[in-house]
Amino acid sequence: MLSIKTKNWMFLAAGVVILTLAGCHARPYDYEPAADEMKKGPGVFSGEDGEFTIYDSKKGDVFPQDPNTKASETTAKPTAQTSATAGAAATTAAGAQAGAQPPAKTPAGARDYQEFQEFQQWQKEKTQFHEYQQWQKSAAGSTDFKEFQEYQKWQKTGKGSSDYQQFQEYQQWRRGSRNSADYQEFLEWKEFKAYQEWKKSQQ
Amino acid sequence: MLKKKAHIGFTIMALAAAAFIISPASAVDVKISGQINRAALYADDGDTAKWFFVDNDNSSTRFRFTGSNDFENDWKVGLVWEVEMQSDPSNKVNMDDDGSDFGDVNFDERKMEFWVEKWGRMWLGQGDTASNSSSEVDLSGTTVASYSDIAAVGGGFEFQKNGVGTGITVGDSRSNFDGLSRRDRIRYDTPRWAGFYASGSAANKNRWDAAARYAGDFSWAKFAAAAAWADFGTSSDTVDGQFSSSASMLFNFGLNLTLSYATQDKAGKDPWNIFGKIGYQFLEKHAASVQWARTENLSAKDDKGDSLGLAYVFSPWKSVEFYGTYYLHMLDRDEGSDPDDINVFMAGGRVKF
Repeated sequence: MLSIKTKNWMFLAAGVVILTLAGCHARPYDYEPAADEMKKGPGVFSGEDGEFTIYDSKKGDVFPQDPNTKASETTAKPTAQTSATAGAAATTAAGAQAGAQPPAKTPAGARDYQEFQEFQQWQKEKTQFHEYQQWQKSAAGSTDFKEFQEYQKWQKTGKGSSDYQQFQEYQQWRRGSRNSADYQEFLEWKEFKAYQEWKKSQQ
Repeated sequence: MLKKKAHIGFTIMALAAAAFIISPASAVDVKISGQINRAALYADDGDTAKWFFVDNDNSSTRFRFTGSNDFENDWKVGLVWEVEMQSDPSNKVNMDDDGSDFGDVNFDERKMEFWVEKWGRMWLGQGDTASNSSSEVDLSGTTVASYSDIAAVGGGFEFQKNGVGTGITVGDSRSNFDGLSRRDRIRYDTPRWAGFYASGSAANKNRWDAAARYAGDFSWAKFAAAAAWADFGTSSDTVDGQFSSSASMLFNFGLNLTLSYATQDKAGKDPWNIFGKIGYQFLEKHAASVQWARTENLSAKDDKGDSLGLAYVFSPWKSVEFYGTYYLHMLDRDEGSDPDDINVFMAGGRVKF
């Protein structure tokens, strides 16, 4: 007869607990299991990033000046200075539209600002989005949904274009800075917007 | 001859394919970061009591360079070069050390590796083996003060019996058996799926290990867990293999629970360790915890090394933490009376720069 040691029962029980919890609609998140690793987050001198940037091809120069100084020199507005802070700004400043100012005149700043605007719009259209989620659940497998998926696949064939490259850079930035559940929902909303556009084009 | 030509042709085709796949970089960055973690430590072994000024080995003073390079078609390559610099490490100070430091302060390499990412991530160089940290999953927020690596604070102190050293230190009698540590190795991590991923690595002396990890956010709590198996290859005459595991849960209202269990397949002894921690995070900037750990059969068959720990961490700013921790280390020997308990108190700060 199969006999299992008490110790092994413990492992088995732990595995079952983990799998059960995993089945409870948990959202994955980036946990780096290393208690002795370096402290995460901002640094005293390095600011929000927590790292001194020696070189960044997107910023274009070695040891870039303080973004605030740069902004004042170029008379650009100081919102959404870096991709990292933009994420926090977007999350916390939702609804503070009146105070929102145009971004720094850099591609990264413009992109951040555009996304911030989209985020604000999402706040407005949340209800509609939740209806879409319901539709997604009920329509899964339907012809309508399959057609939409095919449309998405077709869109991705545009690889190599400058638009797609920009999209990849955006994704990279997003992976590094945005992990909140709220932001995940925002991304789903963006997919919903894509669906809406496709729907319009079908009419 | 034909075979040779075929080889050359194949090589040229492979290089052409590589050049096509690995096209010019679209984003490059190089960064430097570091931290200083210093503390005052007081220890009383029942015979002698002393103050020390130490580098907190829970998360040592160090700096690192990181760099990464994005390529088209989702290829990414990066590197990590991390060194630590400890003066009087908290795991090594002892009563024979009169505070004159452990000779010269050296740079010790922690990580020197590069990685390639596309379908998962592959590392080559010195760095974490797959099993490293599998005993140390901990969401308490007090890891800078204490976690399952008990010997990181006061590990060098020797148990005394009637004023005579037993020859057994705190570090000799307890361990969390945390995998193969950092080694010169090759490692692969699978892509993440629903919060799960698996890793495997192979190191010098025929050592290899495999691990599975999970991290999930249930909206009402966060949960993380890891389990690993490590084979010591020819690196040890007595240890064959080691199982290590840990799990931690942090509820949104601040309560957190952490457990760790590990065991070693060691000739004649089979030592094991169990660790538990209950913590609470409050008022955004505070975290406190109580922990207990027992290691059996490590210093000798049937020896029991118990450690009780308290920890408190205050983070007034995101880049700065102040902490205090207290440990009561006990050793229960199978033969004769037990040696005196060792009390260790440590308070300090970690500043990231």
